[in-house]
Amino acid sequence: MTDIHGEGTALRGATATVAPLLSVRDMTVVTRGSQVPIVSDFNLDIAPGETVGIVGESGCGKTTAVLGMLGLLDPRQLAISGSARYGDTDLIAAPDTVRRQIWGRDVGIIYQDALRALNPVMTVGQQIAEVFEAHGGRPDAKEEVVNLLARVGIASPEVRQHSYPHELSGGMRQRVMAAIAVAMRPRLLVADEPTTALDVTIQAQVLELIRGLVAEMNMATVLISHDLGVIAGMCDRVVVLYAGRIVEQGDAAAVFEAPRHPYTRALLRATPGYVGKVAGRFNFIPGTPPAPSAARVGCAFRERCSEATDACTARTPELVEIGAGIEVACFHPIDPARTEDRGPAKGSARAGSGVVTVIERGPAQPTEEPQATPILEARNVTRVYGRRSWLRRSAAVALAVDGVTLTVRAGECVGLVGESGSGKSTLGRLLVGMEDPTSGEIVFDGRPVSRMSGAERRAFRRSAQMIYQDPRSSLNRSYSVGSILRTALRAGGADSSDVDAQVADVLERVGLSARYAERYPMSLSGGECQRVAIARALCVRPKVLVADEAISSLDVSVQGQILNLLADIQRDTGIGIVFIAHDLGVVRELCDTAAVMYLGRIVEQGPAKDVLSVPQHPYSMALKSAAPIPDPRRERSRRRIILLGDPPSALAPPKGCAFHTRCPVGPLNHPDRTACIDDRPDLRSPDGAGHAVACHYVGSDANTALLGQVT
Amino acid sequence: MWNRMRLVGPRLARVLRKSSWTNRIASLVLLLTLVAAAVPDLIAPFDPVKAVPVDRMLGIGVDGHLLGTDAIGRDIFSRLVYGSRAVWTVALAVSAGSLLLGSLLGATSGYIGGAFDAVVSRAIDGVLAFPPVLLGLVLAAIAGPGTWTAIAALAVVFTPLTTRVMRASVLAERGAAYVHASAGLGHRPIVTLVREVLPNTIGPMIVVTTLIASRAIIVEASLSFLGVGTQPPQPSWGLMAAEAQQYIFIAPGQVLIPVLTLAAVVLSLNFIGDAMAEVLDPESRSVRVNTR
Amino acid sequence: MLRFIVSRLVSTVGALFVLTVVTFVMVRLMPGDVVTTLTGIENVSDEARERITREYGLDQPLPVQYLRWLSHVVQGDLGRTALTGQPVASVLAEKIVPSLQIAILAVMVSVVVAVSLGTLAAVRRGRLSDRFATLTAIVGTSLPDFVVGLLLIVLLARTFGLATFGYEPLSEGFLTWARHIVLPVLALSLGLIGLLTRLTKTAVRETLQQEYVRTARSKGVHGWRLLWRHILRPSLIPVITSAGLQLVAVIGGVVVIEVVFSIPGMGKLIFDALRQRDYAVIQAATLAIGCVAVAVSLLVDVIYRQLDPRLRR
Repeated sequence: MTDIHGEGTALRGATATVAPLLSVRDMTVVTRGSQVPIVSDFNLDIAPGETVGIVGESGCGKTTAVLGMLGLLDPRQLAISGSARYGDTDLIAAPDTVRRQIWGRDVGIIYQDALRALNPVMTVGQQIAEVFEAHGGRPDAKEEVVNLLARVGIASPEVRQHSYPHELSGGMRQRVMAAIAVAMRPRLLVADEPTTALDVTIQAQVLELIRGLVAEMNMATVLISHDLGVIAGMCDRVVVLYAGRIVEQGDAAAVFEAPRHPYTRALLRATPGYVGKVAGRFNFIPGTPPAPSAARVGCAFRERCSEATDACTARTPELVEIGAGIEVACFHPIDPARTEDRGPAKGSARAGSGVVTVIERGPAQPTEEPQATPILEARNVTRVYGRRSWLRRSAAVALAVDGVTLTVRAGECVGLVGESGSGKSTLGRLLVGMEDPTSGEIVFDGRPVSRMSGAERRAFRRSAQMIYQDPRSSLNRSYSVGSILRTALRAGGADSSDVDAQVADVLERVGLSARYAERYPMSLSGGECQRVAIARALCVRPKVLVADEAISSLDVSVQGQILNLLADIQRDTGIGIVFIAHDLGVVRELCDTAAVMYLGRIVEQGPAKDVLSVPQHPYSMALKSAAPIPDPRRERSRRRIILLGDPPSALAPPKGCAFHTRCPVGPLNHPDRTACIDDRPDLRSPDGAGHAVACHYVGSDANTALLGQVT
Repeated sequence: MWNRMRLVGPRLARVLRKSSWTNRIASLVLLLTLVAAAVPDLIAPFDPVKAVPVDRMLGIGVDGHLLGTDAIGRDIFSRLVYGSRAVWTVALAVSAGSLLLGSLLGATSGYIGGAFDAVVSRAIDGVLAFPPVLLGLVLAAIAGPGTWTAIAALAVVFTPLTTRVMRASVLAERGAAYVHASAGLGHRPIVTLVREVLPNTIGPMIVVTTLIASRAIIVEASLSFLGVGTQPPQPSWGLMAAEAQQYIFIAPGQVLIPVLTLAAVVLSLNFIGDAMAEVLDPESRSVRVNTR
Repeated sequence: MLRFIVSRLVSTVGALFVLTVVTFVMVRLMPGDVVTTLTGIENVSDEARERITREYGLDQPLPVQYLRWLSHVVQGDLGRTALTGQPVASVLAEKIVPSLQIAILAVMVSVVVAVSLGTLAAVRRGRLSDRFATLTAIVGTSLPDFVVGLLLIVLLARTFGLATFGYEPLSEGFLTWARHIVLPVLALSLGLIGLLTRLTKTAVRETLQQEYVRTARSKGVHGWRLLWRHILRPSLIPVITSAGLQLVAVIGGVVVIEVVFSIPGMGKLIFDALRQRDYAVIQAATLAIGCVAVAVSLLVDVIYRQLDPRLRR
């Protein structure tokens, strides 16, 4: 049965003077061989029952810091100094025989990727029971395992305990990790990006579970995440890490509302949902987060900082308390009393620093109306993946895309939103001709693709280019950037006489200097790789760009750069863009129109602002509700729609409306709504204004009430 | 392509400079034996084949015989030098053969997939299970013993190794985004295979080929020992050890000298193979499937 | 699981069929006069030739000859060896015993030693045990089998009073049997140990990097429990797959070792038979070896699937 809950938890005030549960002093972690500092001068006190969030982007050292303070780092590869006192034990210096009493019993850890963190050849039940075995065992271990599985929300726990990790879904695996972590009711729970690999609605479930467990067992919690919304929803206190150092620390509400460190402020601004676009541009931080490298003097953030001065290069700022329990490591902390400068971040590298600059363009002019002629269409396409085997007579078929119609016009940006299994990536592949639909037509410039000759098809593939999710994988590591672009230019039929000039040209269009032509993908950052990928796509002068989760694997501070780039290209060349993503906030800001997909079908589509701000379909509402908001007061007090269970498999889609098995206002809660089971709803727009919804009960009282619960 | 060479150059230079002593010695050993194989007549002081009964079983250093003579008076050092030719011919021929065949089979099999791939994989598994020594014996019975019989047998038995490595590499790269991107530029599949996928398979292939070379040398020695490899009076290190077997208690050196030379070359190949893996494909984690 | 075994058996029969056909054809391809080869007599009289041709069906087309042979095999008649006229079946039965003993013992010894050495080397990285294990691995993989045999003869035979020639069955007394079998087993083992040690070390080292090992430690798991459940068991999977393949290659080693130590086993049998063109023996022995190879392969597959639940769906 679907449940709607998720009442907020009160924010705790500043911690009282109770002896801390865990006290970390001057912890520094350095690689053994090359002496590269991963974490420097880390100090932290965790009070009993307190939830502390550790925030940072990739490479900032947050996982290392937390593992280090628990004594779980590999001493052969990392040298760690400092102390981490838990009671009488220093977890860093104590011998294993002492520490392993604490591990598992007083401290429980939920790791990021349960598939890798769980032993593949042991059942989940065995792995939970192992915690008891390691600490002397208990006579009722078997029952307790089943109880724990039930507590973390796994159905049929007596049966499920004999499953292997690979047989469970991602959400279920994370629940098992939670069960292992809390099996002995530890005093401290550590969660390392516990939901990062999960879909947003599953993430909401798991976060809800963790909140419940923490409240019930009154555990102190350390939550590591790069997602500020998640942190806002769970944490009393926030620690911001950059390049292995704490740059700001303090009460969550205070830090979010009035950040003092320039990085914290810039990071918040770049986070979708904190503040909207400014002057039509997405916020970002110029440059990229630094990779760990040999120790340098000075503030690591100075090259990307709008407030930096020479003082920032001369000395490394120390963490200093500037009032009300807030500590900052900066020579120019932001004064919250000053009126905020809300413009886009100024300039990139400072003059003479020798960093190869990434060129940013100015704010955009208002976009023109997209023209009416469609360039690329999907007409009632279906894509089915079959698995035939000799031994079984009936073939197992997966319905990836089911009767979808979508139109892309010149100059238009269409957003495709959905979770895994929604079919959005498959649809993207169909649109660029990477795969053929099982039924239905892909139509390009008015001509159906299936009726094209070989040469025409190849020309079509050039006209519809895809930008892939993994920027590193999309560039061949054996070739230089220049070589990759030359190949693309030749494929696009470019005149070969001034190839180098053309390469420099296209690099400039994506904001990279001509010197990038000699570099190899291995030496580029994720954002730079993605720019090269976009440049390569531009080389063949496409009419449509399909961006398949193109920014999902990039750091938040860099995402805005790519989004602005895509918007600029669209404005300059009038190409159509299909933007596939799971993040509603980004799609709402970037796209003109949006379509929400569930299990291969479009459940809602229309103007992006309408669909994603005031969704009409229960699934869209759940999606919007599940997305964490980076505002502690709102995030912790709002009500959420929590869907129960996992999405149905594409091998056995439900009859009628695909969503009815999990719909908060569907037949499970309203038994009279039998239409949802019998008839598949068509996309209909009640007021004819272009906003179409596939639901039998649009506009009904129950549906409207549900909408009211979505903030 | 040339750009990639430019990447290898500085890396190679760095590796050479930082080489451990083992790697340097290994390179030296290989170089010396290769030179011996190429121009034995310039190095060997005596005729390796002609029997000189008068001078039988002389000790080390006697009468200008650097390493003594064998039971029928042939200079051991000269036989060692000429033997290098037989050994290296086998090693290079087998490596080249299995590299070529394996690349072709593995690349097409991995890229095309489907029924073709299934058939090739099964065949590979079947052949892989066959002991090379046995195949050598069988082929010798049919086609007569000799160096080329050994080469043929070994090429057949080792091709599955190269095929597997190539197939695995191709399969690994096939799903990469840049392969799809190449198709997105309008390239035909064969163009994508050759231009995009193959350059990334060179590293593992070279590693497995050095492995095969060292394996081939060992098995050739066993085949010569059994009398179906290099035929007397032509020298080969395995054959020399076999011929000296009966004198093992009187003159153990006659067995040990060719054996140690053999071991040295094989070890050197292994070390160099490992070093090359570092240079060409630092991310490779090749699981070595050895055969005898 | 049962379905898997059945389907594998089906493809096994197919492989065996191909094997018999191939050996049959290959034997017929060997140069020389067939009748001479079959009888060992150089100048066969015409009537003898005619009789033999009729007896062996040599004038029939090849497929018919093949079917004749196959029908005999199924009835247990594998022909007669040209050398002594004995039935091949009994010769095989006699010769297979020493070979099996040597092979199985060698495998057992190798696995125990190699897994221990390899695990030690991986866990105590860089220390003495690592170097020792690596050295053993290197020596084991860079010497041909006969060299190892010869070296062992030189180094150990005299010192420990071990036999370097021949084979004595267990019925002659344990010590006698042991004296004759130790060196061949050791010689065969060394190569296997070299290989398996390296495999084990790589596999264990990789497993040590896995995240689930860290998870286990952070639960408080330690000692043997940690070692077996989280390190060894997952590592064994790739080791067993590779080892399974190697086991068949041991057959090649058996041939060489039996020649070095003059052991009257299957290896020596097939070696002599090939030289002397004893068709019946060649065919029967190849079939026998093929069956063993296939059986081992099947066994390894079953064990592998049992160990790795990810393959069981």
